[in-house]
Amino acid sequence: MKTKSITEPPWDEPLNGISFKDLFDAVTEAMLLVDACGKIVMANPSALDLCGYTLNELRGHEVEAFIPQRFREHHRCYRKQYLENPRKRPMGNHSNLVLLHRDGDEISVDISLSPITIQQRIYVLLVLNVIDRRSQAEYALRESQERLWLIKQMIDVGIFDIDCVNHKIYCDERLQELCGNSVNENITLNDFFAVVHHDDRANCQAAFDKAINPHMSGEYRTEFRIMQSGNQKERWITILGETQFVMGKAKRIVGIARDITQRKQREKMLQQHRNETETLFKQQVAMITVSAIAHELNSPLTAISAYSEVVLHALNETPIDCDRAREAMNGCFEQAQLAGGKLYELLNFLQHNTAEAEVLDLNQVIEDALLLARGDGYGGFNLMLELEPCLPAVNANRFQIQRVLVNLIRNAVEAMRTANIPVSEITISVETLAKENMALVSIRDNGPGIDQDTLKRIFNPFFTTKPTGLGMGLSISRALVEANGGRLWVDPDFKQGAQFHFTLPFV
Amino acid sequence: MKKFNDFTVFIVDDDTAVRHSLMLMLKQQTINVQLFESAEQFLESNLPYQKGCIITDLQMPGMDGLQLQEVLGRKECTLPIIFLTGHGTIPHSVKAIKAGAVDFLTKPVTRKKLLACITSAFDECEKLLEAENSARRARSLLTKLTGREREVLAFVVQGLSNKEIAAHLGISHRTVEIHRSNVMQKTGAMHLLELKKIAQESNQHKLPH
Repeated sequence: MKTKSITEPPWDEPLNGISFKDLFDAVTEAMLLVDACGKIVMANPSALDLCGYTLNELRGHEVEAFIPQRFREHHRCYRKQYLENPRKRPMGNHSNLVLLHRDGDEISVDISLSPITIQQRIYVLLVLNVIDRRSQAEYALRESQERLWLIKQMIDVGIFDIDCVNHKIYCDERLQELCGNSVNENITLNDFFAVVHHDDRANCQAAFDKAINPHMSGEYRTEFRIMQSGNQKERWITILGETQFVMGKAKRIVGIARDITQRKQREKMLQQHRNETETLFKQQVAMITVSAIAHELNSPLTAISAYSEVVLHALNETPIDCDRAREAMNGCFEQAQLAGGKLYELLNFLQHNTAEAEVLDLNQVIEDALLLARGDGYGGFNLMLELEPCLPAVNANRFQIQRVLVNLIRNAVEAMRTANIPVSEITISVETLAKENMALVSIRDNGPGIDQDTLKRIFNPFFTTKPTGLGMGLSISRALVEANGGRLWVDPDFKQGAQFHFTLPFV
Repeated sequence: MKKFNDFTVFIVDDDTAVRHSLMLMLKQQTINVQLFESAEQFLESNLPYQKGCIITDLQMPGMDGLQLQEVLGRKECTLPIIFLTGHGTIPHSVKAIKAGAVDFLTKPVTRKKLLACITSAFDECEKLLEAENSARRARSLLTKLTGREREVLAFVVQGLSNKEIAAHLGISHRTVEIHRSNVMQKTGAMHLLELKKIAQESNQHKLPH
């Protein structure tokens, strides 16, 4: 527009013949000339270009006709105020105006205003400058970032963005904070997994492998603890992300992370209560069972004891009271027989409640049992599964076999925990015993193992090495496996821990 | 056990062998034994004023040991009760002992324990019977008294003087003296102390059951 160079002498001459209209039409900026009533008097081609109307369509109309409805009233007031004190006002002073394009688009423009007096009438020259697209984009980005930040604040999540190709992870500020500020914004995945508690690392890695597997859903969902320095309480994090695949390859996982420590603590407490209740319940069951047996046996035992003392007394008499001794001995014999019979009756009664067998996929039962054990608070070990993919189905009761597996896993975890094994491992393998037409399941741990003395008694009812145990787990497990036509035994020669095996018949 | 020749042990238990074996054991000690297979059967047999004790199972089909104890208590039976139990649960024993059971034995019971219990039960029974007899004697003495004489007796044993008694009953001092000497004569009491004892015995409640 007006620059200093224009006013220099060599340029004066040719400018003399140029009219206001010539200049008005020549400039690239969009310009409008508006009279004191706000009616458009003139518009230059740039302005027509910008708003998509012809000059005839604009001329004579109030300028408010070309801005969105919602700004019109305000603009009229503004215009009146301006006319009370008309002065030059440059652009870029928050004097934004939104223009309505003929096709309905809204266009943000910066405007500058200059009053011009022609024949004692005041006009206002509007110079419109479309706000440049980059700053508009920056503005939008700023808005969207602010929005994201507010939402993150509200739902208290951290955000991660994994580059699956280069194995890097971006962690936002909140996630860094969740990780105990021991990670930076951009680190390698390995560095990230290093802050995960070592008991949960394998799980975390496995969930990642699953997420980047193009044949699966691409969901990255896992829970883990963060390694804590010092004596802080453990912190639980849950993450949920979705993998983006490009050409069948995992490229990027974006997701959120949340602190679920409180929930975990509540769950742990509830689990403890459940365990206590279960122990109580089991003790009650044991009490009732033993009472039933005691009740059945007490009378014959009372009689046998009394008869025996009668015999002893008769033998000490002189002469020996043979008749009475014989009578009492006979009673002894009958009562011992009766007691035995009652025991068998009781066992038969209890065995009548056997559950029904069904066709089972053993591999599935094992996975279910692992879930159950984890749910009961017996997780946190490295798991090796050596399953046979094409294993034939077995014929057994699902819940009984699950129970046996959970029991064996629990025992292994408890043994390893008690012995403070740094990296606890459980291996579960399944194989086919072709000759017997049976499946063989083996469960081994790397715990302290079982000593010779314990080995002999380990399947005895009420034998336990745990301070709060009832000592029924293994004897019940063995009974359950046997009820399903299999066998359960402990490997006496396994020295790297404990190893249990059981078999089940194929269908 | 010589001393207890005329005493009997009443065994109440639903198990034949338990009854039989205990009977053989007690017979060796020359103790009289009677067997009952249920509490109901024992009650039906209606044994009045027997000497001895009851050995009963706590848990029986039908009426159980505690219920039997309760019924006997109402009937003012003088027989002490020994409970035999398979599972001698504490609440049960407390209840039974509060109601006057002499002992609580867990099955299987030894001869030694059983005999010791029976001996103390017999002792207890004898004491009860003696108390019962003296009460009966005292009561029969008092039946000879007239209504007015009984009123006077009640005041006398409370330690009131003749004058006070006269005031209470609204009769003359002299009349009280006559009533009083009649009371002494009819009860055969030699002095006030003896009279007090008779009055006390006659009031004694019969049994701890």
